[in-house]
Amino acid sequence: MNNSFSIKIDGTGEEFSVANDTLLGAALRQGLGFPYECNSGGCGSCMFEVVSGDVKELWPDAPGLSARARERGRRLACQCEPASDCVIKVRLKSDYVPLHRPARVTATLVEARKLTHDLTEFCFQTPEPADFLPGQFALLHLPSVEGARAYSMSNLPADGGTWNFIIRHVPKGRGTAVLFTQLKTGDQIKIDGPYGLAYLRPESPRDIVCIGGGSGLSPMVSIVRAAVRDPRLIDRKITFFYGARTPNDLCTEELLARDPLMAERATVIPAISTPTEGWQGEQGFIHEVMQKKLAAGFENYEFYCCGPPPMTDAIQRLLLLDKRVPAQQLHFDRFY
Amino acid sequence: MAFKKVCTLDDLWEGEMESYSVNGQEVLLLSLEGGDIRAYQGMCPHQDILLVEGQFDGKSLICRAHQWVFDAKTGTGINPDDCQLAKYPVRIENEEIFVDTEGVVPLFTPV
Repeated sequence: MNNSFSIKIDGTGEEFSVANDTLLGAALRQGLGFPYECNSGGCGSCMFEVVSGDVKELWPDAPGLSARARERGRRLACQCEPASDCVIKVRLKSDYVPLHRPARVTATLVEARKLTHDLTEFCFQTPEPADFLPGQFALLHLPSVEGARAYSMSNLPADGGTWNFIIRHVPKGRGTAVLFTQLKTGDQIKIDGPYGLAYLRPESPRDIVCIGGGSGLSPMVSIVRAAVRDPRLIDRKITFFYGARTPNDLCTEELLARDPLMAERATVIPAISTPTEGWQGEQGFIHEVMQKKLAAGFENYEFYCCGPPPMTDAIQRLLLLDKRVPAQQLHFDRFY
Repeated sequence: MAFKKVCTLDDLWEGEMESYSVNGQEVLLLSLEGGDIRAYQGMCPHQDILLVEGQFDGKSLICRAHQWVFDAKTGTGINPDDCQLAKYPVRIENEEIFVDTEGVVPLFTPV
């Protein structure tokens, strides 16, 4: 059976082939600027229109596609595999041309480091170099788990073939159940990446503010660690706000102890949202703490953020609607 | 010029929005504070997200995806301020809303 199909993009002369892959995955692997963000069916950024041909939907109920958009003939490229040659409509954009084309590689678990009661950093190794940008994510295909899970890397690309992920144990999550209770050192998984647009922009002339919540810590650690090492950013102020529920959920001390340069160059401000006796630090939602600490001049920063949707929504509203920070200075990938 | 009936004024109360497919184009109708009707491209210039899935308060329109904000009166971007929604001519006759799509091309940002 021929599993390779040709996809033509209407009105552009662009064409790509898809073999055992999603439309989005194949387009990015071939270097096309196909718009996307979460690559997980949640955000709707990779919407396209089928002009002719058939596609198979991996997740027909994906929340990123509204009933109205579906009725208008739209589909999500991250959730569609072709079932024939197709002609599609989509607006390619140069911003989305991957600097490192995503690839599917076999990775071996080398270590699992517990950071808090529910956060663990999983370290995988691949024979190939791990080519990604600080802040990007990958799709993890875990043994006996249907579908892929998107997690952001916490390490630096310069670490060779190392892919580290700080992951929160979700009580009923099937993916994290495998990661936290079944996967042993030496076991193999498939990693598909890198993906994502919320990566460090060292060419920006502005000071840097990173905001993380929960397991949104992972890409922020990568960005902060890369920023403090980048000679182009030697004069920039780097501030990292990290929000957790209680002091027990914090591991910033340990992360700073592990990376003295980060401790020296970056200002790390942890905050907890649940009032706790004996806690001397900041208390409140992380966007409120950030607002208080920065006080003014919000438009003078480059913002990076990652965390649960209520947190990223609150940050977006605060920065874009209230503070009028130019939209292009806020970097985050929407996972819903 | 070819105005086409889209809906009636009763389908679109003050402060409401609705999205229609007109001659193959996605057209967003807005009823502004005060009752004026505007018709704009139905997709955000950023990522083709349907604007009707966002928020509208009679004055400004906010895309659900990245909170891009547009002035509902003019279709001009507030943040970012270097973008614009394409505008369709609107005509009201006998409580009915007509839109002309001829020659109007939706605008999209390069990135």
